[in-house]
Amino acid sequence: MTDNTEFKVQLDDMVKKIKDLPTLPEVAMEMLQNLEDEESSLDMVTEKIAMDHSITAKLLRLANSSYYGNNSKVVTLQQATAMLGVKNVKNLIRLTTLANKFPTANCPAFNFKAFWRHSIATAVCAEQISRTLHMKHDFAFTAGLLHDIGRLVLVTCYPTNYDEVLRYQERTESHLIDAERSIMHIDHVDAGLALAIHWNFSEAVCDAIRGHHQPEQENLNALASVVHIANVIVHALDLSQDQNDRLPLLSQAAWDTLGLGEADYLSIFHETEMRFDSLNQIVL
Amino acid sequence: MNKHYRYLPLSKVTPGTVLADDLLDKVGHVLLPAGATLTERMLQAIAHHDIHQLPVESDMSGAEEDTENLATRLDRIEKIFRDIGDSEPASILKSYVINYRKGEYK
Repeated sequence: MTDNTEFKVQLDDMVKKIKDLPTLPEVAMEMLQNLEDEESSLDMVTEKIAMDHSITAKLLRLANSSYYGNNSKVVTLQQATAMLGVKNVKNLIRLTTLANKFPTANCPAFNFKAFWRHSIATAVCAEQISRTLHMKHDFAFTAGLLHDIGRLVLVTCYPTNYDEVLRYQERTESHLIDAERSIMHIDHVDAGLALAIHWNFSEAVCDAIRGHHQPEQENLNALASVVHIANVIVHALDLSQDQNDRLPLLSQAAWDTLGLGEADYLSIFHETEMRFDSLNQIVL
Repeated sequence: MNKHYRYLPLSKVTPGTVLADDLLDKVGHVLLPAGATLTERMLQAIAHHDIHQLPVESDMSGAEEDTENLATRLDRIEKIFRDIGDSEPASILKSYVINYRKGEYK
């Protein structure tokens, strides 16, 4: 039905636009790139955070939230980082800088709040799954957080085109990725990968972006399956609170790869909702 | 004890409702203490603090309220899973989510 190519986007053009995106603060970039860097000690992280008041305030609130609830009140940054641990602290930094520093585009049909709710919930859920599977969870959180970053790239670089995509999706009741391909001839997986390469994200995160809709591709990091399932669970639990939300295709291969049973899933659902609530109130 | 504690979206809270817990702003300062009876004015002020949900005491009996919430939740599940057809893992996931919601409101 749409044979016009008015909204079509070329890959090269998108890569050019990505280069024009504002860069994130150095601390955040460093933490998004070096997932494996276990060197940075608590003291060093604390020192860097102390320079950013909004992050400091958020960390204190997180440490005092009911999820981590303990009896005495946490008042200093040192106490908060000691209690939450380096991993949680880094995750919160990644999260707040991405969510607050990315420019908001003028695209009425795009629900930014729902987008961030979805990204945060997927991060939390992916971490929960990887914990259940005894994988390294630091990766999982970041991969979950970034899996849909391509949507943000498309809406930021091409707000008008993306508005058309969302309208088309609503009209045709189709999946977002199909709507993107029909209208823009490029999808949020392509866009996310282009950004990941430009920003030097680790290979595991690139795989998670590449494979979150098709985790059965060969040679992908297992993280792709984790993020694929986390993404579907977050839709199933209605965490983004998007009225027209629908379940994306669920890959049998990824489902089998994880091999989790009902009891595992129920506890993952529960943990995801609890942790999501505490993070969400603080970040958004 | 018979009073029930729950979170309500700000738009559904009416004047006269009793706050069930301290209401904090973004920085963690107490805006209103637990037990305060909300007035129209307070509700308007709360809206300015970017707060969207309030912990309130509810006089609806716990059981009635739960049935109502569960029904809404189950409707949403049907809607979200609307086009899965008889795809295997998706139907299994759906049954897990339904069991999860039922367990929550038991």
